[in-house]
Amino acid sequence: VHPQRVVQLDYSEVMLNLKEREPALLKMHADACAIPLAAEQFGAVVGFLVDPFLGLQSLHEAFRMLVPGGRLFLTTPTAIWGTTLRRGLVIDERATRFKKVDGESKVVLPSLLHPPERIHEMLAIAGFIEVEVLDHGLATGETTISPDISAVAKELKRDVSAIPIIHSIRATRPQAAPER
Amino acid sequence: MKAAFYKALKAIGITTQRRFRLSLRLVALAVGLVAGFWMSVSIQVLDIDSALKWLGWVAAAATVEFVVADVLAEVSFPYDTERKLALLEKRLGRTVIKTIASRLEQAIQDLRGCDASLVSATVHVITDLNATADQRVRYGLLQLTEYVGREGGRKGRITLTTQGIIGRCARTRKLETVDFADADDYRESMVRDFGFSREETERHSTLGRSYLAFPLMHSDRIVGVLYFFTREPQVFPLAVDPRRLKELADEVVRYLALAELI
Repeated sequence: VHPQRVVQLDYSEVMLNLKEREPALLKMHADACAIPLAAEQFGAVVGFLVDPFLGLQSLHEAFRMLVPGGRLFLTTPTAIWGTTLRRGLVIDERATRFKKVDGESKVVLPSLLHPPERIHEMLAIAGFIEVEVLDHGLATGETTISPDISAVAKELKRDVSAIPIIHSIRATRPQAAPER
Repeated sequence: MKAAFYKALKAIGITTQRRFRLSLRLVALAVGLVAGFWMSVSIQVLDIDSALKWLGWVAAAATVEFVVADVLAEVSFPYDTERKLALLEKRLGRTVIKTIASRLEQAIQDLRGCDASLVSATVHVITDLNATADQRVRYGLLQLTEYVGREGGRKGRITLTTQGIIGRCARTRKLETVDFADADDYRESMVRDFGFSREETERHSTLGRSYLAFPLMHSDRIVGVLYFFTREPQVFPLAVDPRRLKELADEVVRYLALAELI
């Protein structure tokens, strides 16, 4: 996709201004739950690791942004992996922690993990059709494995490659307005 | 912490001011008797240090029995609130209150696209509060039922119509919803947008992330508010079927009307 057709949106001004970020026509500092743009302007809405704001309102906004027939593509950590890990670490199940660049301090951010059936339900409520929620894990034979994954595999008594770690989500805004 | 305290009291059958005060006095009396006994033993064996220590316990028990018990009882179970609630419960009847609670439970189960186990709900009814110094009657919202669902908050709480999302709903007479990103966002918003002081906000639970208040209308008059909240963000209003919410509100209003409360 040509950068002149891309609008980037992030709640974090720092993330938005990272030098390594892909080029785009416009960078918007805004909340995915209340996007300050007119409806039906985009052919696709794409989000990577959207767990900090994955909920009914953000999906409703994504639906609003899309033209009829537009596609939604998201990735998010799976509930089975994330929730098991957080329970093991005895931390809030609806928050996650990131190490800062200095490697010492940590930031805690909201992280909403939903089981696949609830993701389906939420997308249906938002009005999407042709919903697919796919599981992705480690490749078989992978040797460099994070302890955050091996600990969960041990807890669930499964092989590390059998643990779904990430969901990819695809959905479509129908051509005709759905009955809401 | 506070909710856990009242939940523990409820578990042992202490649900009224009278029982709370009586229990505190009984405990203080028992402590006083034991301390008095050991104080007399200590005096008989001329162990003055121990006798003075037991005297301290006797004094503390007497203070709890005659002063602290009254103060704590009044703070924990305000008499005026309890009287109003008792009157409401008497006129509605326990069966109707249980029916309202079961309808709220059903409404929680009917929510879509969210974790229903994280949702709590209750009903608040408009009530007149004591007149202020300038003789004006203030109106407040009295929590009619204990929270149905996850949280264990107790009935009888009074909220001014100038405060909170339920107060806003009582003023606008429209569906009101609000979402908070985290506990800090909640605290800021309570002070900035919802009429609470910082001190009052510090006493609130900050676990809720998505809130809904729906007016209970009788003709063109507001008589109460349906109140839902959950620990999950972005739930309200999208998780609610507006038609079912209206039906629930109408049903609760019918119960209040039958009890001649409105």
